[in-house]
Amino acid sequence: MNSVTKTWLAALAAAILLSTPSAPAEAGDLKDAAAIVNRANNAQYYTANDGRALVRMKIVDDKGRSQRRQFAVLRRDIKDGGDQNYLVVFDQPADVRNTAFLVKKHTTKDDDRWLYLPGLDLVKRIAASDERTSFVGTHFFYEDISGRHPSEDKHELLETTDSEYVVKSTPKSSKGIEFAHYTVRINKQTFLPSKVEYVNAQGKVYRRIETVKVDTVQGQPTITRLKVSDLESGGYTLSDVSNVQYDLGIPDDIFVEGSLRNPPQKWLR
Amino acid sequence: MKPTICTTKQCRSGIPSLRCLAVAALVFAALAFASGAFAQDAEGAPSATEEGAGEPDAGPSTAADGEAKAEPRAEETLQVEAEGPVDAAESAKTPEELAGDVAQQTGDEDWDEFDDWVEEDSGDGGGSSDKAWGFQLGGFVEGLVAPRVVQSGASANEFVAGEARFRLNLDATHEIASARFRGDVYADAVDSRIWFDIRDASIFVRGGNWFSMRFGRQVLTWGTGDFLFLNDLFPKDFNSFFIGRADEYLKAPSNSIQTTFMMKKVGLDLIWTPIFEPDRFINGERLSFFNPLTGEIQGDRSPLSPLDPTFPEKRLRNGTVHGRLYGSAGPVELAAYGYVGFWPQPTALSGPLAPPPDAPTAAFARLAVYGASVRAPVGGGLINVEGAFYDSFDDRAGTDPTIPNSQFRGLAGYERELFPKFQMGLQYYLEYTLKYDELTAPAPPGEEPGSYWPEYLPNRFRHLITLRLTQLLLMDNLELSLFTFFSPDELDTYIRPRVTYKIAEPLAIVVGANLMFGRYDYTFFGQLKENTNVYVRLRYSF
Repeated sequence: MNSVTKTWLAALAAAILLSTPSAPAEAGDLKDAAAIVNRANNAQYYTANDGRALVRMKIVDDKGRSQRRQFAVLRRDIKDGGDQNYLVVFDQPADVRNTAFLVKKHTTKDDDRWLYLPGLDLVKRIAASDERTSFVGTHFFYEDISGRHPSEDKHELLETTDSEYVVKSTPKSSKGIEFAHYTVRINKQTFLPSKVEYVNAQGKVYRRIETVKVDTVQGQPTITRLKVSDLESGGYTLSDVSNVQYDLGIPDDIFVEGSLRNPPQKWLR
Repeated sequence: MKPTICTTKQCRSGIPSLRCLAVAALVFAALAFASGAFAQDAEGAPSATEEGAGEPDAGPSTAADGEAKAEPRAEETLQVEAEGPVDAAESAKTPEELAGDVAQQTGDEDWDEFDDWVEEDSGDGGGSSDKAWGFQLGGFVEGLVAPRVVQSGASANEFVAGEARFRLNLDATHEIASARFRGDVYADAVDSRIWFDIRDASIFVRGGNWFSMRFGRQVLTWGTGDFLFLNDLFPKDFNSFFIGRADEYLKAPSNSIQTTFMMKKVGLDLIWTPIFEPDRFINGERLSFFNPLTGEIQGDRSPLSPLDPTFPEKRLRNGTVHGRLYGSAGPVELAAYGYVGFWPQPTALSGPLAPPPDAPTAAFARLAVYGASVRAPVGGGLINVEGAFYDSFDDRAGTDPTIPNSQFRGLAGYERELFPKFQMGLQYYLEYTLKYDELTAPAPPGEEPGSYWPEYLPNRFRHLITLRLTQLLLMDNLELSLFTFFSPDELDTYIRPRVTYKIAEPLAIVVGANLMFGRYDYTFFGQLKENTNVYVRLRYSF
């Protein structure tokens, strides 16, 4: 083995270690809240370079009535912590089957979004909307699904327990924001959040997102069950993620209008 | 012409009204019954799964209850859940921290539903990944009643719609090919008959990333307008639009071949419809319209109804070709369009005016359209600009009274979310008729005029403004929507208020109105004023 190959291997090994969020190379606890939040953001929303999943949601309102949502998601990262492309194809409820969303997520400007309405065969571009409103009628907000950019908040490390970091995040601008601040408990190994609590101006926790189940998929810790609760109304939504696969090599050119009309089955199934 | 909309002559006054009511009453009774059943189901068993009703309820179980479950699958999951994400981290502390307390708060049976869900799927092959073909079945049952709410001298029927509809959707998908079927059968009390309407029966084939093709019966749409179509010359169904059917019925199907070529960020769509498919136009039978030949609003009382135009011969050279070249530069979307075929509405005459038996019928003139559009995000909203030149090439001089003149049509629109879940869309549309002087000039002695009805023509510039307001409430279960067309120069308006409420998951009710007003009888919306109606629609999806 010559030295060039050795250098290559070393570089490769380093790259693998660096790209794995659960790299056990921790010397000690992190002190910088912003760094923790950035890593958490990458662990939750930027796992691997691309991915596929089947998401099912059960929405339960304050009267106990339930509804379902089911959709397949394809994701491809342009840059870790940065822009991403999403294709979401709905299967349930029956009246929205084959409705599809194409989202080009940007971190420095509004996302580009398209909606496909199968009955009309219409690809509709949709204007940017409030990120903190219901995602397809669930208790999740759009922002919970695609991630809130860490730079939108000021972060403060409140506590470091044996297994978790507790970070308090306060929005830099309160425009369109219904919370005063929120606290996140972040697992020290996986950097996945275990609980997020939103506090209103009166200091009351009114909304909670809990991680119910984490699985390891292709070596990547992945949240597979989440519960979001509206503590004021008593309603909640459960989310279950299955069929997760990473690094499929999903090409960028499937994130186009044509894929809304005719979803790329090769990657969805 | 497909025997689809209003080609029958069975429609007679009086009796249909009763039938309308009878059909509607039946459908609504059935749906109300279904809704009651659902409401009970939802309220009676808030946390139990719909499928697991027969199973003994495990109660607010903890990990130890695992054995109580009959299915080994559920047991497995429960254990995994209780132990938490063992794989996630080797550390012994994490799992409980992560999952323990939550699993206790959320009843485990709540999560069991997802396991049942998975099994359901494998039944119909839904999201199964190991099968080559995936199959899906769906559809809905729907009842619609729409009475006229104004006095109509032209139409005897008090209802514009009274129907019970069954829709079947079938999909078979494969990695490189798929087949699709969308078929409606509906009992129509206004026409007193049963209609079969196949909206889609097509096959899609993908050839790599750069080529795809769909052939068969299909619904096609493009362009940037909202309920305004400039470069979209695919068939529309204006009857459906004005009587309260779902928006999707504004688009009518055609038997076409669509080919798509993708080259990096540029796409090219070419669509060929071998046999010309006109709009499902308003012909007087269901909805009344202004007939410029008689100078009157013509409804089902008129012996001239339904309007029976002369269609182009069903020959390949009378087919239509639609093309679109599209791409994007950053967030800006650009497209160019082309069309060769016919005017989609019978706005021409089959020959010069003459007394019977040589009297002309309505007819379709030849037409080519060239246009372009731009769409881009601006100031937190979206702006769109579209233009189209309607080249009525058999009468470019504008002197033939049997053929409509060429036109330029332009559109500018802006839409944005004003408040959370409150959307606004504003559009300005312009129609400019070329060779207008030739149309309106008095006829030289012994010669034909430019138009037989100059007094009923739209202005040289016809302006139209539209406003859309949409508010979503109650976790998106209630939608309030208002769409308004207003023409400041024709002084007519069309208002579409609509309330949609999802009663229980598969059941939705829509209440709305189609309100047409106009100072004159001959303007675009003014001619429809006697059709002003309110409607109720109840849909059960499966």
